[in-house]
Amino acid sequence: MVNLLNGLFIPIRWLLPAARLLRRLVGVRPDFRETIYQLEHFGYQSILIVIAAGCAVGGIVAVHAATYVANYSAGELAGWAVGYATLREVGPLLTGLLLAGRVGAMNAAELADMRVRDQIRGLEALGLDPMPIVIAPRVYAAAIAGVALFSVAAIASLVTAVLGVTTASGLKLMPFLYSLHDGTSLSYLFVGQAKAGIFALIVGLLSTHEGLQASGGSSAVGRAVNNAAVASAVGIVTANFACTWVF
Amino acid sequence: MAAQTKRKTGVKPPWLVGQGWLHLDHLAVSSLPLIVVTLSLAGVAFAREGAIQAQMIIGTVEVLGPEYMRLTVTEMGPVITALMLTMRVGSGIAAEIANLTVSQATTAYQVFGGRAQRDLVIPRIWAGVVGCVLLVPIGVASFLLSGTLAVALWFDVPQEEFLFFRHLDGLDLMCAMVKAVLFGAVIPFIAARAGLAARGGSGAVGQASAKAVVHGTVAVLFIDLLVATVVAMLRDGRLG
Repeated sequence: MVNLLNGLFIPIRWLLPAARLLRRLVGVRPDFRETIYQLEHFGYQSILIVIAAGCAVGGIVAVHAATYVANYSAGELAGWAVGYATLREVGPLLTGLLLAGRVGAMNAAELADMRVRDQIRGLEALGLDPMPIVIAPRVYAAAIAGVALFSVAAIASLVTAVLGVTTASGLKLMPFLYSLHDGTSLSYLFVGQAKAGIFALIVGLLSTHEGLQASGGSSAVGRAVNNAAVASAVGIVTANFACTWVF
Repeated sequence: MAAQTKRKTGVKPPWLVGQGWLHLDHLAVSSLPLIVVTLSLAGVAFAREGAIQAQMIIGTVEVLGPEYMRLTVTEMGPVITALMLTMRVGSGIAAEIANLTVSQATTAYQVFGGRAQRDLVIPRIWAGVVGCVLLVPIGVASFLLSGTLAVALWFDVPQEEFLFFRHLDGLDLMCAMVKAVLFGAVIPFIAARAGLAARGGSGAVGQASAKAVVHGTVAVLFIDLLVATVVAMLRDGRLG
């Protein structure tokens, strides 16, 4: 029972440090070269894994959409269902959780490693502020990469879902594409991108915070990654909950 | 001692169920608050969004109940529970085993005749399967109850008109349980594999943990797709 009551405070426990770090970041100008490097690191190097996950999400949506078409003979609603699920609701949430692993865990691992090897303290000893050259570029790059990667995942899942539904349910491609066009507005994509941006920003903030908290040996690095992954996942689910009132 | 261990493992299958119970506390009991809180939040969001869309497209919220129920039991409940376990348990197992690997504790264990790969991986897989089978129904219940509460609060749909247990059939429940077993086996396996492959210093521990989370997430999504496809084919009568 005490364990469960503690659990109720999980979102607050994880999101407060993120808010604090965000406040510290306001007004900090990130190093341009480092930001571009981190963008390549978080974004470009994650494309393949995001496409694979996007195809899986699209396939799952297609299987369920095809079942509903068969059960309710609702072919005209299939396009809307596919567009809504992949672009606005399930797609951003699952892509966000993948980013929590790919970007969040990787970022926390690197920062925790830098921390336990005293590299961050080394920068400070040289008179360099780690905020604009280490911390801010990672947080901004995570947020930008999140939006870009979601767009890639959305295309992959939409293409897979269209192919899946037309193959599995026997719907003709052109009528289905018309139904997708009529039932889906561009606002679905924008809402999905906004959600992905918020999720990725939370992942960037929480993983950076957890990475910088590490102290000790190699076990501390593992603990930091573990905390970052859990905190990012909780942050994403909480933000998704809050987004239903905003969008 | 090495010969004795070898003889023992050669005769007995390496089930190691007893050791699996030791890991069950970390895997299932400690993950319970995380699962209940995140699945409840996701349930409210999913039900509220679904109800808003149903009202816009069909004009009524009442029709949402059976589909919300089926999607929760077969899809959202097991998948979100598994993704949360990947984040919490997968990265934890990978970090723990990677730590043992980089500090050469696994090598030392092997020198004394132990079989590190078997002894570290199999108990965790047992714990993963049992833990996931226990946590998925709790996750599904949290998702369902919070969603029901959300539509009752914001859309005045009474609980008896939203929760349609009779719309669920054996295939839906089987689908959820098969997914729970597969997720429970795959998450610790991938994590342990990432941990055992770690080479180097503290950076390797972090990389192994990160790899366990990413590979675990993708594996969960693909297993989900595979099981959903097989169940859909069974329902259509295209299989069996």
